[in-house]
Amino acid sequence: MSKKKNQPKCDFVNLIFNAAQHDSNSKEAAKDFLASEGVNTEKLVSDGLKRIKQMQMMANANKTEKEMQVAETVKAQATQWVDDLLGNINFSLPDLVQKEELSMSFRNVESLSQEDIRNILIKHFTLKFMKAPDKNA
Amino acid sequence: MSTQTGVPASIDWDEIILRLVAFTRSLAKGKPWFRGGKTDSFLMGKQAEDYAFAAIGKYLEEPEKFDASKGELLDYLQYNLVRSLVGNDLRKKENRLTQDVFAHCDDDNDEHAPYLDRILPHLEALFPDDLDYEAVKDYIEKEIQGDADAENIFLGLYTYGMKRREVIKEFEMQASAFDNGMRRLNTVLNRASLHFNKNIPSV
Repeated sequence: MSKKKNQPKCDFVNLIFNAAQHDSNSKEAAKDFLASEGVNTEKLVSDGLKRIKQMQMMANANKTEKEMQVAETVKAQATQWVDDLLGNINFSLPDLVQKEELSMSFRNVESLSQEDIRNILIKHFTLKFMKAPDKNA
Repeated sequence: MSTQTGVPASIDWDEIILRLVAFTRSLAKGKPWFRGGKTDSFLMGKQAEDYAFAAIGKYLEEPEKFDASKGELLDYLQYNLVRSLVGNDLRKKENRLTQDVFAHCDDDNDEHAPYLDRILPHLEALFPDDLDYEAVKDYIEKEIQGDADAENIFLGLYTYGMKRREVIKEFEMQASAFDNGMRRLNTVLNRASLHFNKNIPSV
């Protein structure tokens, strides 16, 4: 602290903190203390576990939503990347297939339309960017 | 990032709930020197339990922020809980007593310190500066006079800043004697709180 310490106050607050720590020192100590305060500990735990389950579900839903938002953003980046690539006059699909190790995806290349090729590349680069977001090349 | 961050292998939520709520209630209830006559005013109309579950909820949202190398999950939850109490208190318009702990305290620059060591600077912000803490000390010493265990515990915790196990070792006490003595000391603390509350202007 940059402020001058009030030592008697610090010592006193430390004592209060230790008292609170003592009342919650173990599961049994906490139960005893709460019971002495008139708290129904069984109900507290039972209601608390339900509350935690709800919060956990909410947290998971928020996480999924965030991940989906990130995936949408990355897909848009990949789409732009592929469109720029296909629009490049020097673009060579065989070279790209070799560089990106995509021979399995393009094993029947002669039967693929331009749109099919574009979609395969978008899918590939979306996954690639999601794994390594800073390496878009 | 530490490999020790995030969700512990298993969490005994029963124990966490009981211990965190007990900690919060012990800290907040019956301690009017937090805020003059209105003991619970700094809780912003919430129950102590609400703060406990808010701390748990915050952890569930971002478990990766917990770093097990700095303490147990309960320490982390207590740390966040005390920060919430102080934060809410600072936002109260009528608050005239709480220090601006976030302005004066460089605790959060010390990211590597254990969670328990980082709680005290925040907790201090909840106590008024203008209380005569020497007088409080004298009052407590007088009240526990003749109770050897309570006297030793007070000496160890207050004067020497010891922890429970250190007091037990230093004064060669049984754990049960410490627990009983601490209970009596707690009763005196609550009595002292009421006694000195008369001298604190109510807000």
